Amino acid sequence: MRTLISTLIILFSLAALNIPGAYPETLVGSGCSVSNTGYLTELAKDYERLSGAKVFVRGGGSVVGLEDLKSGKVDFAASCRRSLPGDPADIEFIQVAWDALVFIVHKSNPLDNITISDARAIYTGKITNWKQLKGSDAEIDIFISRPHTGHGLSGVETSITEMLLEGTKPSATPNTKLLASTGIVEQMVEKTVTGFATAGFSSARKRDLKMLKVAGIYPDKQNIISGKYPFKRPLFLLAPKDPKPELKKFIDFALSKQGQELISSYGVVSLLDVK
Amino acid sequence: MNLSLKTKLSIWIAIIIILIGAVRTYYFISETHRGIEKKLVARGETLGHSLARAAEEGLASENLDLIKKAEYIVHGEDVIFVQVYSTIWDAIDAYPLERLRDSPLPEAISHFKYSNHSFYKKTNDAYDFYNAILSKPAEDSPEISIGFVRLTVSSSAMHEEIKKTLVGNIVSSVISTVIILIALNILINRLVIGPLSILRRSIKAFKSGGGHDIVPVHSNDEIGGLISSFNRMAETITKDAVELSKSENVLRLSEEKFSKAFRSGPTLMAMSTIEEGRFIDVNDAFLHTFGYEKDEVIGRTSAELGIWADPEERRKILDRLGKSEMIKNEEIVFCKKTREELTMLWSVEVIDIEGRQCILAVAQDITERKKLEARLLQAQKMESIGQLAGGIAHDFNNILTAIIGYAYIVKTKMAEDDPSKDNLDQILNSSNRAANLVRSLLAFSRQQISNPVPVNINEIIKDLVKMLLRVLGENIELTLALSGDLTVMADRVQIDQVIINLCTNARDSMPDGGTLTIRTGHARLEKEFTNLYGYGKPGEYAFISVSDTGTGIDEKLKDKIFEPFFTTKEVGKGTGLGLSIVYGIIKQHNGYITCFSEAGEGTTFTSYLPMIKPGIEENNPEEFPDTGRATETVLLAEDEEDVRKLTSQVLSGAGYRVIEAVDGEDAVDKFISNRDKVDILLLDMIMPKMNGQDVYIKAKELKPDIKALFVSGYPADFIRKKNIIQDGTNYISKPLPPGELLKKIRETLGK
Repeated sequence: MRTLISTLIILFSLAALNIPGAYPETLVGSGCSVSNTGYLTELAKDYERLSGAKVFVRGGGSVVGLEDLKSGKVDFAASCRRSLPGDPADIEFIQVAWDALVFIVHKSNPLDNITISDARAIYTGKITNWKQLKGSDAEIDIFISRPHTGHGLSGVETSITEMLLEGTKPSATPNTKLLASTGIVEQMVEKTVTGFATAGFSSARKRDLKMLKVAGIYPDKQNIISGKYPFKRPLFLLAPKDPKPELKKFIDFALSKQGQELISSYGVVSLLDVK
Repeated sequence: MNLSLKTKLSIWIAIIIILIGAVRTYYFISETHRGIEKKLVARGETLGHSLARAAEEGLASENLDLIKKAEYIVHGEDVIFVQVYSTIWDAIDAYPLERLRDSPLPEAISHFKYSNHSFYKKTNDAYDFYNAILSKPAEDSPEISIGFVRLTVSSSAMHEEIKKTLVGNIVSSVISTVIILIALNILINRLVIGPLSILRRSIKAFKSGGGHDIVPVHSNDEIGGLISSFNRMAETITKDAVELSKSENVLRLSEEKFSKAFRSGPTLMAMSTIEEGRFIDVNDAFLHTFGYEKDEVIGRTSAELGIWADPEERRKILDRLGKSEMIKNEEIVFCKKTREELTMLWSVEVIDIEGRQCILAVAQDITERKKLEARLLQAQKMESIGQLAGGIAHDFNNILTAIIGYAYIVKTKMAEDDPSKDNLDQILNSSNRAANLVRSLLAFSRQQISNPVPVNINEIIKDLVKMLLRVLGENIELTLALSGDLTVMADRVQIDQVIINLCTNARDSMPDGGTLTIRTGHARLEKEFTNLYGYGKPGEYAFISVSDTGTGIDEKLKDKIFEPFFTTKEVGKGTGLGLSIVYGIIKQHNGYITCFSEAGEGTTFTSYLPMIKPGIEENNPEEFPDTGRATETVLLAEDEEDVRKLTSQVLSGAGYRVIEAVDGEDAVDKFISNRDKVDILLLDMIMPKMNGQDVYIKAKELKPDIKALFVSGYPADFIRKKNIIQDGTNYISKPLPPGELLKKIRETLGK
């Protein structure tokens, strides 16, 4: 009932703001493909449905999101990395869900499991052929999301550096392909038989590809929540420290019990799930 | 460079056509290019727009498949590259994929910072089209850019098309140029070159002197006008050329004449500068007369050569030339190269030679003429002296005849012991000396009776040697150098006198002794020599030269030595007639006498006598002995009473009967009345009423065998000249020494 009332109040408020002839305020967001694909698109649709407000989100990667937000192109952004030194101080990183790094290969790849050291060896250029991992004799095509413009590393690459390679950036081997965003990386692995990449659990689970077990643990919601599966990491929404009311409403919604439950219902690890 | 008019014209026209073609082609190509480019840009923009629209959904949902689908839409032959970017210009996808990481153009990035409008940029061989991928978050919200598409369209097709157009244009330009050139060539050939070629040939022929044919005129344009003008000009030139050649010929002839006249004329000519007198040219006569070679004269001044005897004279002439242009026949003395003096009649005129004021001098050498004149003057003087002397002698002879005659009569009638007889002898002696003096004067004046006969000069001299040795004395040595057979017509007595007189003079010039040389020989005298004297003929002459080693004759006196009564001897020592007599005798013999003397070295007199062929017998006059007292009758005709009476007394004294007549008519009358008695006529030649000759002719008519002796105070040659007596006529000149008269009458009667 309270929800209904709240909803109504929001609707009324929005309606009151709806000056005749003027279009209703639309919140625009861009950024992390993992968040976008994992939960944000669905959450925005649900929010529109529930509040009547308009929210337009798209991917592009954490860097695009941060840049768009800085330049005022968007009202908010999504990111899968935490705030780093050098990020603008007037932008607030607000965690709304959990994610985990996953190693992804083509569906046809016979490999199911990978050790953390093998994963490291691939990124440091020590393992370059699938036969070193008892696979077929084919060069490993590594895809990394790394925008060549903009500031900082992508969310996924920052996570690889911090969580897998103990602070070292993945070295660029001849077989490494740099792509604009994790969304594109996932799509490339879907299409590349010899492909290998690291992505986020939230978006990768929806793709037509194979997520490798790490040391025998399969990345699923349960294993991530339980912590059996390593590489758990937060997903953020980025907003100005002094957000406009519509945005504040949307973030509040995302952080609300209703919002969290919705996120969890999409298959993503919500803040509530981990508590 | 030598290009024909046709070639030049063709080149210019070709250049103009090519320029026009180039401009036209450039305009056409750039228009074509613009058009094609416009089309290409429109297409590129359309495709870019379509791609941006199509890629919107794919990009928004990061769906590669959707993006690729969008890319397929724009695939075309000329679309060589497609890229889809995120808002931070990160390439999401590309076709071809290997160019995924190709950077967008910086211009595009900066363009889209402020604008969502499409943008294109031309690169080397392509056009890059950029379109923002716009998305509407909501139906009624403004579009925001969520990324960009890049579309590269190749422009090589466009270039190919332009190239084709260009080639087509060039080919058509070349073809049209060639066609126009050919057409123009034909036209120019026909209208200009053809007629001009004919004109040119005609001019060439005309220039080389091949005459002028009228060039036909086919058109009324400028060319036709030109040809007509040429025809008229050629006609005029031909006419003028004939005139010119005529006058050139005249000029050349005149020049040749002048050149010849200058070069080889007998007149001396010289051209020299006014100021310095530097010789520019002289002629042969000048060089010959002055004795120079041409290169000794040309370029040198008259002062350097010392031509003027008195350089002051030249300065005076120049002063006068300043006043008048010309000076004529000035008598000036010049010096030869040998420093001999020349007298010239000198004329000068100022002429202009190549802009310089010069002098043209024309001179005539009158040195010889002057000499001749001097000699003629001398001869005239001698002649008048002779005439004067002759005139006096004639009258003086009559006086002397009377003195001598009467003294003789007195003497014959005087007793042997008469005390006055000595005085009378003194009178007779003095009178005879006077008579001799008169005879000498007559000899000088050539009024002496001369009986020339062929004589051998050398014989005469040999006969004289004895006498000469006596005359010369002991301290003078006589040398003879006689040569040849020298026969001349001469009066032997007169020649003796000549030699003796010359030797006497020679002796007197050598008071301290010396050598006297007599030379004889044969000489041929040329015209130049005889001309100098104004008489006689050139030919073979015998000469007698008498040389002494004495004091010589002063140069100044040379002209006077032959004058009568001129003497350098002390008073009483000479008469001053010696050389005058020699001169007269030689001249009477048609000969010449020259004197060569150098002071202190001696003198040589050379006499020339015309030679005759030897072999003619010498006429030795027969001596008629006095046969004692005469008995014949003499008819004496004499107008001078004193002389008639004297003569009558002399004749009567000798035994002759004398009938006296006072003049010619009287003589004729007396002869008629006494013709049987008269044995001989003694006739004065010159008488009033009738002269002696006419009396003789009348008498001869009455008595053909009548004898006659003529008497005259005038010389025989004078009488002969007047045709009064013929050669062979008996003649005796006054004064009449009674012995001589009687002897002559006896001779005549004896004949």
